[in-house]
Amino acid sequence: MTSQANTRASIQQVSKQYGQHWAVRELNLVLKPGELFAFLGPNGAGKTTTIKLLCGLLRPTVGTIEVDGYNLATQGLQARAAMSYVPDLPFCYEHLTAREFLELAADLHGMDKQLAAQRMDEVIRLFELEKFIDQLTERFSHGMRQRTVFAAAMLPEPKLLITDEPTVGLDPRSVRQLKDILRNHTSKGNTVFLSSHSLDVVEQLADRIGIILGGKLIGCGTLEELRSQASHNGPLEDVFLKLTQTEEQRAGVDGP
Amino acid sequence: MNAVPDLGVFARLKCRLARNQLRGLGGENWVRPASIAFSSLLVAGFGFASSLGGFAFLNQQKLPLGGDIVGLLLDLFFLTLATLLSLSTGLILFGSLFDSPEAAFLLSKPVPDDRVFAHQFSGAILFSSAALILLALPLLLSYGLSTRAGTLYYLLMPLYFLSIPLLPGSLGAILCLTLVRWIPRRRKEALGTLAVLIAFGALFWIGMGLRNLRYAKSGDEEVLNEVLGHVRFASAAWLPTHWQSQGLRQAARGQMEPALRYLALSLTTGLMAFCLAGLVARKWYRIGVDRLSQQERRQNTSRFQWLDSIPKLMPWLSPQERALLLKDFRTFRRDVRQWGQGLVFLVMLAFYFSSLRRMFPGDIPPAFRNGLSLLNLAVVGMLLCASCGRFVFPLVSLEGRRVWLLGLTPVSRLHWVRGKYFFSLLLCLIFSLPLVALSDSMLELPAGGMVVHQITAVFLATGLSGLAAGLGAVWPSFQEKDPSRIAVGYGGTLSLVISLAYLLACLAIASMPWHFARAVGVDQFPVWGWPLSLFGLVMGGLLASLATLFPLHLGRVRLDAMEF
Repeated sequence: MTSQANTRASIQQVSKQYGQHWAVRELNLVLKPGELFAFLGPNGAGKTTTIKLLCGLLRPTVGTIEVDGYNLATQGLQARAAMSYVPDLPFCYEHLTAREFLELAADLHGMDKQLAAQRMDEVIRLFELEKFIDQLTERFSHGMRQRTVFAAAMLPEPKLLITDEPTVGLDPRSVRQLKDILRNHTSKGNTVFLSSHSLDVVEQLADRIGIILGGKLIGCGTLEELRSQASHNGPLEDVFLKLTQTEEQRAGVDGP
Repeated sequence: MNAVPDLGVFARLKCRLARNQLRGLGGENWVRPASIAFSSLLVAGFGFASSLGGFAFLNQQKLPLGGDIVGLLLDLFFLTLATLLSLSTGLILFGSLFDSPEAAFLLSKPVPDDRVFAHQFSGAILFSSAALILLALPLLLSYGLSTRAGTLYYLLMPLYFLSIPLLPGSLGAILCLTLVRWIPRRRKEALGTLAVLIAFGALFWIGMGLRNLRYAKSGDEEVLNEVLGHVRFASAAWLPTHWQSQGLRQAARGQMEPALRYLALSLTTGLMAFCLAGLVARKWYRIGVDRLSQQERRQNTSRFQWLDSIPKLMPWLSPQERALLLKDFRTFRRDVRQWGQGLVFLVMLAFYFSSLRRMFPGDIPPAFRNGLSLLNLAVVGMLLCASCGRFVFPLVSLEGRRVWLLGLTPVSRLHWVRGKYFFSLLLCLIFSLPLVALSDSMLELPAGGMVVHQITAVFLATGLSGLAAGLGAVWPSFQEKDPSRIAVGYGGTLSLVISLAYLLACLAIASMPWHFARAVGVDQFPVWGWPLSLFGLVMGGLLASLATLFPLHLGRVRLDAMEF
């Protein structure tokens, strides 16, 4: 174990190649305990590949990823025990009830029965699942499914929560709830890695923001730092567009 | 908190899923399992009756059921079953390990890779063992009854059933994991190619057998010895399928010690292969998932763009219908997994037809020619029936949650269904007419018979396409994305049964009159033969029209009434 007190996860010199195409190139990123890191980028920029690399679903072609001090390639089990992942298309077993799905999540994380029961009560309240907790998930709307999957992900109180487009399909009240939950989660010293196209949510929540384009991290820092990099003192939307457009123009001048 | 979940977690998951599914069988949901159970009972019953009849025939021929010949046949049966189980488990596992949201969910959890593999493996084995239950159970029950086996046989049979799929399933899993790990790209195609190669190998072997058979002219005994010699390898002492067959035969004789020994040998070998598959999964599963993601995205689909001009062969279609037809055609041809399965059967059938002449060293006996040509036409009809049920019936359902997209276009709902119908008709005609012509020319059928068969094939293509396209719109399943699940659902099963009934009726009405006349007038086709054949064809045409227009109308009415 190579734990560092101020590092929850680190991505070191990571590149990922698909055939002839480099989806991620020489990515370096350190996620700190207690921070909410937002990951932005246009479609096909390499966000989902980075998330899958961070979850251990894919392996870097080059480079190393550590979560909670464990190398994902060699100590994957321990690393995955410290994290939870909520994908953009939430997966539930259709023939399980929401409660049974939460129990499964607790079992998969090897949680103690008593602790699991206590945490289940908490997340059911937190995500307001009471009304449909004993219904089969096959009839759930996208929002209900998203809340159930989030509840299951939060059950083991992961040190690193990775989520891809968490607010898609949620009603305004649920979005507000989710934002509070994520902030509350980081306030306990946990880390959230969030990928989203909802720039207003990111602007409100993120401690730091990373912008990826063509597999390369073109900007990383607080909103103020990104504003300074873009030489633009506007909202995140303008800063994001300016940074990505500038980079695209530069790539156009430099050639592929 | 423990890092690794306890061993029972996946067993509990499976039990809960099964329990909840069983609870959901109330209301209207019982229809689907009931139809599946009914069809399965029908198939199993047919298997039981025919194997009982087969054993009775062997008894009549004074062939001892406990003897070597029956032993060899059982060895061959178990070996064939093992090969099928191995391939089907490998293919099912490919989907559930590498192409399912469940696998991605489990792989992101702190669960060892070999446990995820074991969970998916048990599901694949259960699924592919349906064939075991449907094929082996009736045969073994009839064997037990025919040999008057004692309690030991029936007690040990379930244990043998546990051991039978374990080894081939594990080998299929190792093959699947190895291919994904080591073949650099296009793994789906590689798996498909492997299946085709195995099929070709089997065909080559059958072909060699037929060739040898052709030279065995001097009587039944020599022919029998020739055939048995060709399959003797199935009784090799080192083959686990031979242990299973031997063990069950010993159990039928009441020999407990050898029956238990063979069972133990078979079970332990299977378990060892399963452990080996687990080790392979621990080492290669996650790497395989990663390598599969590296598959280059296909961008250039222009190589087969010329195929898109095929729908232009139907100039009478409206531009909207042609656009819908082109969409279905492009979607279909780009999904290799879909048409690959049909192609394997098609090639096997073409090989069988082209080898037919080898079975007869001299002239083909007229009775054989008459019967076999009709049987081959029925086989082509079965292929069309299965293909329409598997590929055409799900087409409307596959519009899925995007169905509103079509719903908002200024295209009549009749055009939707007709588009699917013509898509099916085109493919059915392209494949069935040459196949029927090949079979008939190999059997040297007279020109009249060939014409009758070609017309019947057109009737089959049009009627089966109408039934599949129309009933697919009558019983759509927009929530389901997997076409194979749509095909085996309630509507798919019912549509298949109706299509089979149509197939039999069409053959009986359109083709049988000519064959009947041919059978009566072996030397000279009777004068009344032609009017009778013509009458049959007219009636067959009427039946085909009914089977086409009525389901299409029903489908249009159903779609018109549908809200999106």
